[in-house]
Amino acid sequence: MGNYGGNVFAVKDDAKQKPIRPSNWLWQAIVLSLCCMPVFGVIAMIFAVQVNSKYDLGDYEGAVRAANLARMFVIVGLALGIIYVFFIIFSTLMGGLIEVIEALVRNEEGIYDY
Amino acid sequence: MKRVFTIIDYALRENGKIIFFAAIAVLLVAAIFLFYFFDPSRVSFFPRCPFLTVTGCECPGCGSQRAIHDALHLDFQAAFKHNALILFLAPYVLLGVFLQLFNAGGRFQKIENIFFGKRAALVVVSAIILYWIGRNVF
Repeated sequence: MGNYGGNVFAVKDDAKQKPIRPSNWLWQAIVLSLCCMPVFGVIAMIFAVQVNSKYDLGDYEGAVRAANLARMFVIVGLALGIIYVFFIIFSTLMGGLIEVIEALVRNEEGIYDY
Repeated sequence: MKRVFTIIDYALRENGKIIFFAAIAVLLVAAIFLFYFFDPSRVSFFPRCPFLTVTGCECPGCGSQRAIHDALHLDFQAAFKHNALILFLAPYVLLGVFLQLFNAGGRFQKIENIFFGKRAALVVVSAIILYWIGRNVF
């Protein structure tokens, strides 16, 4: 990872004629599985492990395919997690607002006690 | 002012990655601030884990918010009780971010091969899965 932003090996290593190893998305998958999307995170981690092992075996296309799958699962899981967090924040805020309004309605006589 | 614009221009043109990771760094500092001053087991605005809400089983990341709070207050025993994984995986993830940023020329290739190679990745993934199963069984 790190050497290359995308997962395509366009540039070749001149010395060994080996394509550059694709990013394996391992730490992103770990973050995802610890930040409450464990299903997507674990699937992405399994593909992330496959990237390095396939690369070491010489299966460069398979490594790129696994890296793309890992990236897809990380991005989908991250999007779902962000949507979930925003939904929770929004609903707590709205719930607090509704509670305040309900309290106001309940204590109406007490509040407008001229 | 011109200098600031030059820096921004450089960052945008030369490497969009820099802006991305600066945003992540700002978010990280904000998160540390939040987790230091508010206790997730008392304050309610921290989101609950969706996996726990849906299935009733704990995911490998459950309790990590409380664990981060405890670790920032240097109470490692309580942090270990709340979530044992995050203590080891947080430095690992930070190492991964560091390598992603600064290993462009292959300067830290040896470190990367040790910590993000085939074997290390297998160990980490199996540890996470075993912890996930174990904390729900026992």
